[in-house]
Amino acid sequence: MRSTRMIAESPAADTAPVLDVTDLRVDFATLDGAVAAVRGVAFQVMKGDRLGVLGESGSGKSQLFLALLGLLAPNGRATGRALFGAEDLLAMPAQALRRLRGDRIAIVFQDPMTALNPYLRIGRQLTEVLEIHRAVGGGAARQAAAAMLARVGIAEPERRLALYPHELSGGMRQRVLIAMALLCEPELLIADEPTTALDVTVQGQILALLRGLALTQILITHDFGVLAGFCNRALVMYAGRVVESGPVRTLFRQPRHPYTQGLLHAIPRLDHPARQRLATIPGQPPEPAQAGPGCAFAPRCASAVGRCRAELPVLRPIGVDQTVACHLADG
Amino acid sequence: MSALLEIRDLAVAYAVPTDGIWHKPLELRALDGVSFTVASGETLGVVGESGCGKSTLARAILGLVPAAAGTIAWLGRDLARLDRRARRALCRDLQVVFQDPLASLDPRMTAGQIIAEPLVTHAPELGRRAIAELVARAMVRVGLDPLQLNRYPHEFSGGQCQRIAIARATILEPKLLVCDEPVSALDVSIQAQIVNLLVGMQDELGLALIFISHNLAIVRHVSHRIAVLYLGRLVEIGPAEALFRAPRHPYAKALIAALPIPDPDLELARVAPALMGDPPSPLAPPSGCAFRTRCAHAVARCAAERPVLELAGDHAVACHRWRELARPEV
Repeated sequence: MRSTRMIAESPAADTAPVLDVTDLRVDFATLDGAVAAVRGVAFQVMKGDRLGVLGESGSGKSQLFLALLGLLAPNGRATGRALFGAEDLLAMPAQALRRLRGDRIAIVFQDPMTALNPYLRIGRQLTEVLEIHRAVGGGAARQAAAAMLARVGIAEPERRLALYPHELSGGMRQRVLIAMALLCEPELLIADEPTTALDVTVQGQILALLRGLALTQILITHDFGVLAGFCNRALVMYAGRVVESGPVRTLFRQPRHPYTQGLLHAIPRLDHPARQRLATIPGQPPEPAQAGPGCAFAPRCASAVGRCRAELPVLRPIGVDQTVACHLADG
Repeated sequence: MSALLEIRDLAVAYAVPTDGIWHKPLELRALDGVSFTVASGETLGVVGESGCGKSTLARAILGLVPAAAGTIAWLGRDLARLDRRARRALCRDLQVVFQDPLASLDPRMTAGQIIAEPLVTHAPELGRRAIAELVARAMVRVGLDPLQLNRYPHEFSGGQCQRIAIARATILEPKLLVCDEPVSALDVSIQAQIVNLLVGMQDELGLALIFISHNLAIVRHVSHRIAVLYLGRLVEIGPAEALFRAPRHPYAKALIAALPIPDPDLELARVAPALMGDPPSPLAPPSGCAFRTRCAHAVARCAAERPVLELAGDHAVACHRWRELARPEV
């Protein structure tokens, strides 16, 4: 299978990263003071990568990318550096970022019903993208929109252009959003839980569609199954920080961080005996407001020692091409 | 094993308003001709995609929606014929845990009041002291600190709220607990805690579970038997292990094949999506077999004749062609 090979081969080392993020922080000003949602995240995305970002609610995985796109809530503030090519997304004027968004960087959100405007026909919403970014309108835009709908697997595309979002099924709407994202042939596609709201058989179809795109992609997910089938590399986030990163196969075969290990053991698997006690991670993720000096995972970690509670572990290289933020992990 | 709950030919219909006041509302058959039993102490998993009738099934069993046809019998007695008092008494034996833990708890009641409420309603003869003792015991059983008795739901996390809901549902020691997507709103690391809790309580109290979820891996983990619904119809029901190992209905096969596997090598070997298209509208189900429009094996008979649930051993399937499809050369 060609797509498999494309994933397996790591991007050439001589090319510059598509996206290079260093020390990204996101803070929200609240009545109770500043709350840190992302606490210093660094990663690179190479051309052709399919990077998975795995985390539970509150891990900061969504805010991280909203920050890159300038879509934080008004009380949110992002600092750090995010080089997209030669430009720093975080230093860019809002207007320039607006031009970039939907053009060179596209995003697909989780819920296709709220991401589409219920009052506008599909055709209008698609052609608008081309009008704004490419100054293409009229028949040419409609033609391009219909061709794109056909490419994402929608039958009778001309007829569908006249429909409203509520007249489409959930899977169909997600295809429309993907078509919209692809219209300007972006260099980077960010998909935030693109299949979480969909049924499992429809999820398979959408993932197959995304997998068929020769495009650098970032997939934000909480689902190890989706991650396994889609990404070549992944970051695991916990409480606003990356706790582990590496090639997906290595993360599954040899997870280094106790949190990654715990998550992998906590999911019921079809090849394990039923009704046995699942391994669990005790407790729950910390509130973003509360942060001690040490490792954020220490209160839930079975192997935590004194040092874990006192000193923040930094992300360091381990094994082949893997990084981990844990005092106790050894290569 | 005697049947605790016996459902026969159950149909539930909703009226869907149409445009204009002169048009008759359309009838949506959310469930159509569903039959199965639940034995005491067992877990019946119910799986299917959105719109298949999973939640309607839970609501019908709980008496929250009326049956349009068919019967639901509890220990041999038809629930529709029970008078108010008998129905109320039944609540002791039949309890529910819903998906959204925060929405199913009254925000103005403390955890202690919420957990005590079934006792106050159904066992008013108990004194305050006895109730307090039972509440404390129930909290410990579900892994909550009894010192948090006076806290309000918003002071708890999602997983803890689900523990409160489970404590409330089990304090009367019911015979059957209906769980409608009990872990779907929770994070992965919390899901396993709640699944362990439910399985552990089942073993301890001997209660039967109807476990409704769209998460096949979790359903397979907790269930003794599994029922697969498609567009309001029961297409297959059988022992969990056999159903996963050798599903008989083409839809059950597709559903299991579509499940993403947390293993990169297996996932990358995946060739094509298991199933194309979306389920048809339940307002206009296809003639004959409801699945035939998406089924790769459909023939003329599938459009003409609705397949009945055919029992072979302890495993039943509603498909005209399952026997020939089960042969290895197909």
